[in-house]
Amino acid sequence: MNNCEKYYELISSLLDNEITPDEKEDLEEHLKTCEHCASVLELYKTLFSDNELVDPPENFVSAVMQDVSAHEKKKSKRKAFVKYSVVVACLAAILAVSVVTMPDMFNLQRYKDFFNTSKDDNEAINGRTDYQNMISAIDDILDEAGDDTPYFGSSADSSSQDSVDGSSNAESDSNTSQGSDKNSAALTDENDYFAVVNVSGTLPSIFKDFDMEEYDDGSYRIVVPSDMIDQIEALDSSDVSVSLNKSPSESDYILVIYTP
Amino acid sequence: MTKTQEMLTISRVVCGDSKSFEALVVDNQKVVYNLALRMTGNEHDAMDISQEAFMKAYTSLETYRGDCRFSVWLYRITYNVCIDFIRKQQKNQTSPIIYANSEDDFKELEIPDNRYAPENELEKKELSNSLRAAVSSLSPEHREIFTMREYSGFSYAAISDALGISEGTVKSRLSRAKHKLAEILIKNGTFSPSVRQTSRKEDADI
Repeated sequence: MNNCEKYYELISSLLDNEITPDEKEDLEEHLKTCEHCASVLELYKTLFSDNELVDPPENFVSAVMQDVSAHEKKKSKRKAFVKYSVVVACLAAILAVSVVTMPDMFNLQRYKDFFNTSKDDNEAINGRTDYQNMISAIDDILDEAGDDTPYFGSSADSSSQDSVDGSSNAESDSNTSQGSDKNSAALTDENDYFAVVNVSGTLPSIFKDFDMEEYDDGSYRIVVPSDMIDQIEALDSSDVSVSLNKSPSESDYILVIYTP
Repeated sequence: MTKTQEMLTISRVVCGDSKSFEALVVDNQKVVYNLALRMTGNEHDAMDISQEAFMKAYTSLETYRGDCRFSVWLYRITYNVCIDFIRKQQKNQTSPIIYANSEDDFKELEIPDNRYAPENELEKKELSNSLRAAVSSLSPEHREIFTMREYSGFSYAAISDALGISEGTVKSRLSRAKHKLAEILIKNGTFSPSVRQTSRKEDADI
């Protein structure tokens, strides 16, 4: 650094009011003898003396704070938008999942229905199988007994069959009769009936429509549906005695032993 | 406002108290506005730039780590906004030739014989525009220290603190920046054409 270069720094510091008293004294001494540095001082004054800071406009602070306030409002609106967007998105997602899974639900239901139906069908099939087995068993018994006579009377069996199976009256008599025979054929013991009614003297008219089977001891056996129990009890006759065996749900028939 | 008060205020703003930001605006409005005004030479643009700079500072306040004073941090934001603004304005113009700058490149000044002294506002404005153009051709190092001191009014101590250099270095770097500017302005004819060559030899003769 040459001698004048050092004073350039002091001139700069002088104009910036950053010069120390010693430096200032040194510079002043130099300027007395150095025209060039005096010229530099004048030049710097011209170029850099206008460095006084000016005051900003009066509304400066309020203008900036208005911007800040506007920014905050926008931000809160954006937050609210984001919040609602999330809620809407969640609802949309739930809806979408529901729409996507609902057909499956229907399918499941359909499958369930299918399986239920199949089960019912199987049961029905099994039922038929059991029914057929039962028919075979009855046939075997009848064959062993060597008796071709149906066990139950056709008319009474028809009505009893209706109540038991709920089958239509439109079905053929032979089928009904056969069904009645098969149903009651299993009831080989008096205790298997819902009730046993001993009737003596005159046969009440309510039994007259039913077939009677004559026994060796001179008595007759009549099988009637268990729902006739009310009519039987209503007879109120000393010739009729009723003894209940089981609940109606377990046996649908009443055995009437008629001794004339 | 002390540095501690400054940090407390900033913490309040960051925590959601936006009104506390006003104290920071009041304290730093001169630094920001004067820098913008000197960089653009236009009050309207200076106002727009100042508002943009403060908003940038507000929205990125969480990134302020307190490594330097808030005013220095804000000054740098404002300076960048100014540069962006000037670049947009000069988009279709050729960029100024960067004047050779290095700490060692300390040439002798050619002092004008008839010293140029702007007497009216128009001349002052012309000088101001010429100075602004000359500042833009300084090296980044010189430009930063010059604008910090001349445009935003930072003290040598504040510049030393902000740039992490000694006050002696601030003094010499600033002097070199001014010297470069004077050279550019003399060279581009801002001053009257009649110039007198001075040299140390002549100085010695004097």
